[in-house]
Amino acid sequence: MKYRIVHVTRYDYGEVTEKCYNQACLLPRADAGQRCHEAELQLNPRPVDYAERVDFFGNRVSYFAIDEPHTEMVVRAVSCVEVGRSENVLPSSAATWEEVRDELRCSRDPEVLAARQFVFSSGLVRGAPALECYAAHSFLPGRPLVEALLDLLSRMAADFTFDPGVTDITTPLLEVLGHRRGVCQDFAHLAIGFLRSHGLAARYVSGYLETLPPPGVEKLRGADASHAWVSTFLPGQGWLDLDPTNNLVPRDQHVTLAWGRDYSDVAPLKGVLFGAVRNHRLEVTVDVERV
Amino acid sequence: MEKEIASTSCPYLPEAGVHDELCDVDGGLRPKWRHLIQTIAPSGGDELGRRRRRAQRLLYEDGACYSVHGDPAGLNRPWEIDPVPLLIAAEEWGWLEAAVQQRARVLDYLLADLYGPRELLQEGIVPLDLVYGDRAFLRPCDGIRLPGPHALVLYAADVARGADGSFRVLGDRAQAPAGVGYALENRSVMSRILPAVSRQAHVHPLNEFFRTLDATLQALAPTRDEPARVVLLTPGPHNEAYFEHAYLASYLGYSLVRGSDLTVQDGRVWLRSLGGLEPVHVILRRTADYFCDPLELRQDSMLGTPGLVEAARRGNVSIVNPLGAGLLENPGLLPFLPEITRHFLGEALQLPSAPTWWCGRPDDLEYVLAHLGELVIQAAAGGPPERPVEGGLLTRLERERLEAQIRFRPHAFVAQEPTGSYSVPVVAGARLEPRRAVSRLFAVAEGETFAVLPGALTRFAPRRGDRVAAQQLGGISKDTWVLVPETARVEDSRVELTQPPGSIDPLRLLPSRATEDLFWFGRYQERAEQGVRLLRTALRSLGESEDSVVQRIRRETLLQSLTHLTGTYPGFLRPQGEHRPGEPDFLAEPADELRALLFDEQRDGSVAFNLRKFLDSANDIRDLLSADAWRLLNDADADLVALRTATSEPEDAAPRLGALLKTLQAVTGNVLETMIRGPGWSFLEIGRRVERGLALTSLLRSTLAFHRDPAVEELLAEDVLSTVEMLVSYRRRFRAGVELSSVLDMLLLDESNPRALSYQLDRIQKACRHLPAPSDSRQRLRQEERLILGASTELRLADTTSLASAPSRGDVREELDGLLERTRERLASAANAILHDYFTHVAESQQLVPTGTEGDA
Repeated sequence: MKYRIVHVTRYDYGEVTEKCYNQACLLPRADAGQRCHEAELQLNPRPVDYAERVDFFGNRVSYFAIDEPHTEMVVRAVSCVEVGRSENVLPSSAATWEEVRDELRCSRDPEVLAARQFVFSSGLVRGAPALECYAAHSFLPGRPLVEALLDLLSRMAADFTFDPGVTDITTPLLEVLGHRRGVCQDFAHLAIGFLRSHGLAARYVSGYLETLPPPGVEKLRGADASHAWVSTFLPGQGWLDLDPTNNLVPRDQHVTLAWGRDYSDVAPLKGVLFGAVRNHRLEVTVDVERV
Repeated sequence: MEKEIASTSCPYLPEAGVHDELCDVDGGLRPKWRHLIQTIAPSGGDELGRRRRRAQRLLYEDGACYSVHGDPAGLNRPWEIDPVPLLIAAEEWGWLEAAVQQRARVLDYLLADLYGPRELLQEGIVPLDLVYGDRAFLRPCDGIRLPGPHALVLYAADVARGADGSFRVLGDRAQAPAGVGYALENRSVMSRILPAVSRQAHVHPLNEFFRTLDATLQALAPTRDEPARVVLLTPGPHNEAYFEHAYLASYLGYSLVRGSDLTVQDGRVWLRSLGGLEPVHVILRRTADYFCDPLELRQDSMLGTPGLVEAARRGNVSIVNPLGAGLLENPGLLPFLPEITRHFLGEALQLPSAPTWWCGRPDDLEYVLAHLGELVIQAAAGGPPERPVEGGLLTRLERERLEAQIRFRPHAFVAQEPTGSYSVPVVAGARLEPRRAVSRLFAVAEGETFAVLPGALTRFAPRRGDRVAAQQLGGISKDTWVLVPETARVEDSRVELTQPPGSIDPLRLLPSRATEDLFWFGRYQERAEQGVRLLRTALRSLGESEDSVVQRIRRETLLQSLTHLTGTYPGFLRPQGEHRPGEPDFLAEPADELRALLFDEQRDGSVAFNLRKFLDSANDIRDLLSADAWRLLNDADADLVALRTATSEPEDAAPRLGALLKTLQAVTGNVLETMIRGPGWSFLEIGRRVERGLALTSLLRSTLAFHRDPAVEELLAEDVLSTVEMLVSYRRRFRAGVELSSVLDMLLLDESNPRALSYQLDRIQKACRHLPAPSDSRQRLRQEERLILGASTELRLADTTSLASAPSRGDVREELDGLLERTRERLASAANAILHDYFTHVAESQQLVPTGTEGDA
């Protein structure tokens, strides 16, 4: 499946900003199941300084600075991505979750070592007994990992309600676990917390999900959104993506942008600005279009 | 031997099982001390105590302090020093120096590996937990390398001796090792209190180390095309070691800057100076790495410079120690250091760590849980506990809780044997007593290896038997002397630092923030002084025994003038009869309000408030003031405390205010005589002159602009003259009684009188000419110059006879009042224009609101 993705972020400062420094994580990376044919950032105002690099996790990161008075900044990321994941989902591995955990702990295989950094706590996903407690009902002794994962996903689908108005980036994870409401990034963080609490590797995947309108209805522009899900490591099989928000294993409707330990490693756009701006408004539109 | 080391009958008794530096296990004096003890002990009596007090006095005069967060003693706690140095014998030093060098080299390789190929992780020599599980591992800084062979440039080790006398390291300091400036200051004090002894004892001087430091930093400049500019980055005056930052910056000749003084443009770092943007090549960093860039590191940091990581990544600036170096301080690495040393150097580690267990290893975990009561528990990954916890001091409940935490996340905990300190002789009363101590040794990269400071910062516990917390500085310290063999001669020369070739415009050395600080320094200094002067006059009038209508009007006028001058409205201007119940009539009962004007630090305009602001602004520019200026500033602080403690009734304060005034004037004199006449000086001068002009217009308007009974007017005119210290000059010049037009002539128009209004305006005009032209200004005169010229012209055209004449109606001399009011307004506007022209270019930074993923069901 081939997609053209247009992701527009518009900041309206309301006041004049003299200068700003930004970092964007908006250019899709390549991965086992997808290829990025082209990708670029279109910036307005034009930056005085722009540089791209590959970050610690292999994501494509852009640094740019704007050095002219402006009241609005528009970041338009346009990319063309080919996804072909449908063949290799759901591994047939019968390994129990304990075996996977122990291999992560002890193996010196470079691939396993690389995965192991995703076992540790990170800024937005700190270990806590409550996380271990919830997950333990899925990670029963001796249970094959894949089975435990699918069980965890369906329990989460039953227990948690998608509700966009309740949380933001700063909402603590345990609070979400308490009121059981949130959006995809909360559920991704929770799933990460559940997996790590049992010594498994879990990373946060930022990306897009193609939405299809009901039959007969024309698709609206900007109706899509950025999305987030998780990925966990199975030694010998590689990474397995899981979408806890939609209780499914991503196939070719999920487009990966970047991954890291949690949201803060892959925030699509962050920045520091200089000026007397008090309340600035943010507007994001995403179009994922089949081509 | 007791006779030798103690001048009283009490013997020197080291704790059992603790290595003592002075005595060996049999109680005999160690040979290295013989010379020093012979020199200082026989002087008898309280000689040691005297030396200690003298040392303390010198530190106080140098303004040396170390402040501890949340310290009830206030922000600036004096740095304390013991007058007996710790001695390291030449042969001990030879071994120790090589061992510290080796350890620094190992950590240097380790840092390069952890932010580079990470071989040690792949080979299983260092557990991943200690790197990927540690918040101090800064992923954005991965792959950034300094030019040259080193990753680690500065290193410090906290060392002590085990019971067997062998040296061991309690912790490695690599984030931004602090203390080397205090070590230098300690040496400077010691060479003044024991000059002869330090010469005879053949002590290794310290200055060579700083020369090396400077040369190393200069060589790290990424470019050879222009002279290397090194700056010292400080978190600012609220940091506990700010004294040291300022001290080192002025010693090394570097600009002392904060994150907001720097800006990143074109991927390069620039200093915002009044002369424009100046390139910065090397940053000696005293701000913790994660605070240095709010874009890529801690987003809530107010201490950083956005884009700094990117500039370092592009190799356009060298940051020392590099961002991310804090990772080396993880105590969990200590058990692995012998293996790491073998890996890199193929040698055994010479300087071992204190026995340390990392709970991430099953065997270690088991040991730690079994011996929790004998160990000190610390965080391995920047999590809890925030400070090391002594297992033996925990209650059962606390201990169980800690055990549970360790079991839940074993890799996050480290335990260490608490035996890590030795005892050193310190002066207690009139004799020597042993105290537990820890010494911090410093190293700086030099060539392919490291140079070690031949000395140390040794800190000891205040009480016998207490341990020293190694993590934070503070406590009491002592100088550490490395003895040179008798045969060798060491020349102690002044440090001649290699200045970059070519002279640099002073405008370009100062952050513009510092010039603004100078402007406020001048303003608060004058404001404090003027407040004290008028208070003194008002208090004198209260002491007047004669109770007549004339005296009452005089007194009330002065009190109200005080409210005007200090801006502490409504104060004495509250209309009669409008007092809320229970509130005194301040004019009749002025004591409470006067006390507030003297001592209430929260009251904007009080003497205490102005003095606090003055001292704060002085602290902001600490590196620009001389040591003598600091002694005087400390005196001003002490004067105020003395005034407060000695004053029960405000009237008593009048004679004592003189001491404070004298100190403030001494500061003025010192600054006048020592500060280079550059742009910084011009701002200070303008600040002071504006404030003096404002005070004078306020004083005259609130006293002599009123037409009153001639007897009252004469008294008030005398009060005004004496407030501005002109009474004697007036009498000498005019001889006759006080006459208003002559007073006005003297205080308004006389350009030769340094207290006159015209003199202030003249000085401001002159100083304005030395200010740099703002880049966007093409006008011949800037706004502040136009305002001052206007004020000056109107004043020159004024006729004092007419100003002094009685009003035809009403009781206000309208012409005089109007002139003073217009002058006051112009002065205030000129000050604002200067602030606007020069200092508003740095807006507050803030974070963009994050773009959360809205999600999709």
